[in-house]
Amino acid sequence: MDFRPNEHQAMLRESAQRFLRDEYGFDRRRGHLRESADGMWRKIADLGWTGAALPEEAGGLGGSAVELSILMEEMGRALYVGPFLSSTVCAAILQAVGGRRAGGLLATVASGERRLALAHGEPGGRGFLDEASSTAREAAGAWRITGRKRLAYDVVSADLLVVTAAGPGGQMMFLVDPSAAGLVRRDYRTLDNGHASDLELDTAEAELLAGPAETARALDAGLYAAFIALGAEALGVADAALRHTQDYVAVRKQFGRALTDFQVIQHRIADMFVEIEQLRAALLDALSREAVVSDERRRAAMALKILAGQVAAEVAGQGLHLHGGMGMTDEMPISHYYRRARVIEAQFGNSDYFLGDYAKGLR
Amino acid sequence: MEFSLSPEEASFREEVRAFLRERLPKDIARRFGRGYHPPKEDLKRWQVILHEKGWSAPHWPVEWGGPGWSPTQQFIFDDECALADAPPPSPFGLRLVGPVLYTFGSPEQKAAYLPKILSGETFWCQGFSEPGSGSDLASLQTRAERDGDNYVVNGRKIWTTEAHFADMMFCLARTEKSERQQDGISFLLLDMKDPGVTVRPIPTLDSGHTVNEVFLDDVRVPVVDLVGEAGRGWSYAKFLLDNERTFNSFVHRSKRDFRRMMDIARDATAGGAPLLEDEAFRRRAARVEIDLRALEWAVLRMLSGDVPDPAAAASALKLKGSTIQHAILDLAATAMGQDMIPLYPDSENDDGGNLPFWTPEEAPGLMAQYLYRRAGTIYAGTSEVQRSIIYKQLSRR
Repeated sequence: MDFRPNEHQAMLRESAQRFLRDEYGFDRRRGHLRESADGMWRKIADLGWTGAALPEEAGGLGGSAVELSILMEEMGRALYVGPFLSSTVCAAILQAVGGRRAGGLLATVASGERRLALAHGEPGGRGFLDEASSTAREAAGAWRITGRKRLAYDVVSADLLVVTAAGPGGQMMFLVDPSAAGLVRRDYRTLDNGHASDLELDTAEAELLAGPAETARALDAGLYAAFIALGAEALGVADAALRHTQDYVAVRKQFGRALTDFQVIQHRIADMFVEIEQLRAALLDALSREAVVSDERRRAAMALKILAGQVAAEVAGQGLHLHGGMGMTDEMPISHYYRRARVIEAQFGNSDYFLGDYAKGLR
Repeated sequence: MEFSLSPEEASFREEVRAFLRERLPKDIARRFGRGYHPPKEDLKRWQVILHEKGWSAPHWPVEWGGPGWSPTQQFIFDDECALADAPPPSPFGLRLVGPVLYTFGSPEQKAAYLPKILSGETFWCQGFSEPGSGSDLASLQTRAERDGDNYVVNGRKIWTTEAHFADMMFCLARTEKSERQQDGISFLLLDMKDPGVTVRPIPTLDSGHTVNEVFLDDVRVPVVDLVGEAGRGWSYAKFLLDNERTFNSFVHRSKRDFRRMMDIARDATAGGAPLLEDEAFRRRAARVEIDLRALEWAVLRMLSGDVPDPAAAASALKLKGSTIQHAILDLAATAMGQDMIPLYPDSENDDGGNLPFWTPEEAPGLMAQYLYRRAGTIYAGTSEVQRSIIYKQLSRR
């Protein structure tokens, strides 16, 4: 065992830190949030991030989940908002589906040329493990989907949608053009400044991507990639929240003393660190299982998701509290870390939801 | 990054497992598995068996009789031992004073003491804490005055684990007056058979006898049993406390305890079904398991050396490890339900009163362990001391 990054991984982290510091500092970020994601996206694609975690034969740079986790941790630190996570999840799905069509698409996702978004959740659903109840029917050689999709991230900037629906043999996967006839959508912002959409599909034209067995495999791969990504992002969010908080309490004076002089403040900071260390370890646990698709891999990924959501929300929440009244303001980064942390906990299904599934597999 | 065990490490695990299956005496494993503190005879017998195999000091350098294992191998060894209910060797010789002696000791001290620690011939205890000096250890009052070729030691030590069967004590005593209270402390090795040593048991909440108070009245320690330089004892003590960074995560024991807790929950019934099928209970257990598996990777991470802040990380492991240990034993007590209430005496130690008519298989020893492990957040630096260490480290970065 050796958890030290290799030379390439160390360089990737360094370049990500430099790029995000220069292009996506907290003040510049405000501007980015108002603009379309396209400008940043082109730069990210040029840096090779869209293919960093994909094998060379898929059009990527030969990396793995470790590269993904490095990028996401740094993006978490920088509070990056954009379609990177959606693109990553769809890439993992396409990779698992395999074959000519998915492979061709994957190469364009790896290069950043095309952006895909996943529309899987539905109104009333609780999370990623729920089965789609939208329906897909084939008639005269064409598939059509009818149903509703909820909280589909980054549809607003996507060229193509991956949509799940109940087909004749079970849950299946389709490709849908975001401007297809019969698709009505409502775009909105999320608590953390992200972009999501609700979709209504009424016999919208669709292209079959995967049958039931491949769909199950693809969703498993998507879940793994999503949770590695979110776990690493949560780590970046929590660690940055801790550092911002430390900086703040070091300069803030009350009762004639710096807040850091109070032991109760010191110990809160220490507790934040302890939780972050746990999260870092859970990420290693999940990363270690990348190679073997198994129930154990899924459980490690869920364990990471559960811990990531709780740790990030707890740490950023403590940080917000320690900022006092200033923590409540939009002006302070900590309030943004807290919002992102809070959304990570709920994204694709909250800790309670996944703990239920995790607990079923307890032996 | 490389996450998997090498083929050599994987086969090493098999080798350890086979050795334990063959050589770990069943009665020792049974007694330890119940959760009572192991008797000296068990510790000794097991240490002798390990020594024959050359495995009695996994973390010692080869030069001093260690097997030359990598940190991962040591982890695997500890893991397998815990799963097999092998009692961990008494830490005071092997884990604590041993490394101090081979690092700072004189050639005579090394020759006199190290082989007997390896072989299990000599048991040690730690004379650090005093009635007035717990977390603030450097305030200790025990004095050692030079008298010819001896130091004459006077003072009181407390919470001295295994002092009632130890042959030797390593002890901190003040040899000089000094400005800084950390200065002027010396690290001495004293013979527990010296007539000035009196050991008084301290009965603890688990109804067991593990810790003691030790009175030192004019105990004579030959000057040759001073470790390193006089007055520099604090730095050796710090070395000792820092030496085992992952030792206090309790991860191997907690993994074993988690299995035991699951067994209890499987055997217990709630509403006509095994408690383990109760969703609320499963969720609680699942949440603790998630923390436990993260703890294990945190320990592996520490062993792999990829830790920017080792001192803070070590304290984090101790804090989290002790909390998880409590959480697992709390689950076990919950699973036991009202059956946790009776005082189940150690049936192999017939002075503890009656066993109830009805005694669930896993009940004896469970609550003794539960109660004794409350000390996890107290000894080796309380949780508050760990938090202060962490903050101090973080404030430097």
